[in-house]
Amino acid sequence: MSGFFKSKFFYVVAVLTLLAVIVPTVLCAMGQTSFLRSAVNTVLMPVQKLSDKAAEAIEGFTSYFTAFDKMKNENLRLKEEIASLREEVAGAREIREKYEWMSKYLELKMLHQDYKMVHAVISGRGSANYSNVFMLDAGRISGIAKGMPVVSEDGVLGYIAEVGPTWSKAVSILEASSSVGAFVERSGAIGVIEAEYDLSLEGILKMSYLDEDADIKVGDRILTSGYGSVYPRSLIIGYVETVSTDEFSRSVTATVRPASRLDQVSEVMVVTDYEIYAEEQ
Amino acid sequence: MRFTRKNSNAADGELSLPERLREKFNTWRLSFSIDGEVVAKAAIFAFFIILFSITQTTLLSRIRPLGAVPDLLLPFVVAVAVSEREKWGAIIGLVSAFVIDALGGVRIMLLPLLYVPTGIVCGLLTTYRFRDSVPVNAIYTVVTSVLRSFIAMIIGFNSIRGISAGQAFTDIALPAFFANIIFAVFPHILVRLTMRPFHKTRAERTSKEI
Repeated sequence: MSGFFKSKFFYVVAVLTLLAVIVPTVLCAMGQTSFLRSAVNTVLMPVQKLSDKAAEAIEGFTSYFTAFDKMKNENLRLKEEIASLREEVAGAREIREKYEWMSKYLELKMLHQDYKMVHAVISGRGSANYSNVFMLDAGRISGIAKGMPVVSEDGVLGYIAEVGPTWSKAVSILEASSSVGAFVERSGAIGVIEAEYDLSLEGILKMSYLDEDADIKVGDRILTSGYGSVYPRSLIIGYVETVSTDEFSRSVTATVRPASRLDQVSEVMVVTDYEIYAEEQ
Repeated sequence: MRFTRKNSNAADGELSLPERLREKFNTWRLSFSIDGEVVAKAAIFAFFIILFSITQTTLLSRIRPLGAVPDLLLPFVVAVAVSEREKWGAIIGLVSAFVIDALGGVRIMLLPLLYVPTGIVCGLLTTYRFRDSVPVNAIYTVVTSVLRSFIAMIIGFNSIRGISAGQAFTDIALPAFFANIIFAVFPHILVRLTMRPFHKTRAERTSKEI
C-alpha cells in the first residue's frame, strides 16, 4: 500500500488536487475564474438549464410529498399570524367602537355644552326577569348623585336610583314607575312619556296627556321637555311608532320606540350638572 | 516528471495520432495505460459525473429532500474506488470535485480535498484490506458522508450570519448526512451495473489491472 504513496501517480494527483483547491479559490477571491472552470460551466450550462426546466416540473409534482413538513410549518406559522392579526383586529375594532362612541358623545356635548358628564360602564343588569335596572361602575366619588339622568350617545336611558361610593344603580325609562316630560320635536306638542308594563316588555314607551289636536305623526322624534323631571331639555327619547285617539275622551296617545336600547349599550354618561338642572336645584 | 523518449521522430511518423498519444502517456510512467477499456470506462464515468452533478445542482437542489441537497458524487467516487480501485478513485474524485465545484461551488473549493483522498483510501482499502461487498461499501459511504456533513457544517457555521453551532449541526449537518446516505444507493447501483461487463471481460482475459 505504501508503494502507492511513493508513486509518481500519487504525486501528480496530489499536486492537481491542491491546484484544484487553491487556483479556483484564489481566482474566485480575486473575482475571476479559471479557464477550465469557465469551460466546464460553459459546456454544461445548456444541459443544466434544460435539466433545471425538467426539475422545475418534477418539483411541482414531488412537492406534494416533499413539501409536507414545510407546508405544515407554514400552516402553523400562518395560524399564529392569523391569531395575532385577529387580536389586532379585535383591538382595532374596540378602538373604532370607542372612537365612534366618543364622537357621538362629542356631538352630544357640542349640542349641550352646559352638560357636565361622568363616564360610566354598565357593570351589570337587574337580576329579576324583565328588570330595567342596570348597575354602573361609578358612584359618589365620581360625583354621581341620586336622580341624575343617564344617557347614551343615542339618547335617554334612565336615571340614577341608588348611589354607592364606587357604584350606582340606574333605572331605565322603560321601568313602569318612571315618567318623563316630553315634546314632539317637529310640532312642539307636549306630553308625558310613561312606561307601562305590557309595552315595556316589548321595549316600547307610551306618550300620553297629548292635546286632542296635538300634531303628532308616526316617525316623529320625541325629546325631553326638561319640565318636571330629572331630565334636561332636548334629549332624544325615541321615535313615534303609532298614534291613536281615544273614542270617548278624544285624548291622543302614542307609542314611542326608545332611541337608546339598554341591551345594546355598554358605556354611558351620567349628566351630573346642567343649567336648567342647576336652576331647579 | 521524467520523460523517456524511446523512438525517434521517424518512428513517431509510423504511428497514428491516438497511438502516439497513448505512447506519450505511457512514457510518463504513471502506471496508467490507455486502452479501449479505459476509454470506455472514462466515457461512462464522465457521463455519470455530468449526470450526477447536473441532477445535484438542478433537481435535488430544488427538492432538497430532508432539507438538504444530497451529494451524489461522493458515493459515486466511493463506488468507483471500490469497483476500480485507487487510481480510478483518485482521478474520478479529482474530476468530480472540480466539476461540482465549478457548477455549484463559490468562494472556497474544498471538495477536492475530500473526494480525492476518499477515492484513494477506499480504493486502497479494497485492494489491500477489505473485499468489495455491500457492508464495506455502506461503511465507506457512511464515513465519507459524516466527513461531508462535517465540512458542510463548518462552512455553514462560518458563512451563515447568526447561526449557532447547535443549529449548524441540526439544520445543516444532520439533514445533509441523512440525505447523502439515502441517495448514495443510486450511484453505487449504477456503477456496479455498468462496470459488471468490464469485470467479466477482464476475468475472462486474465486479471489485467490498469
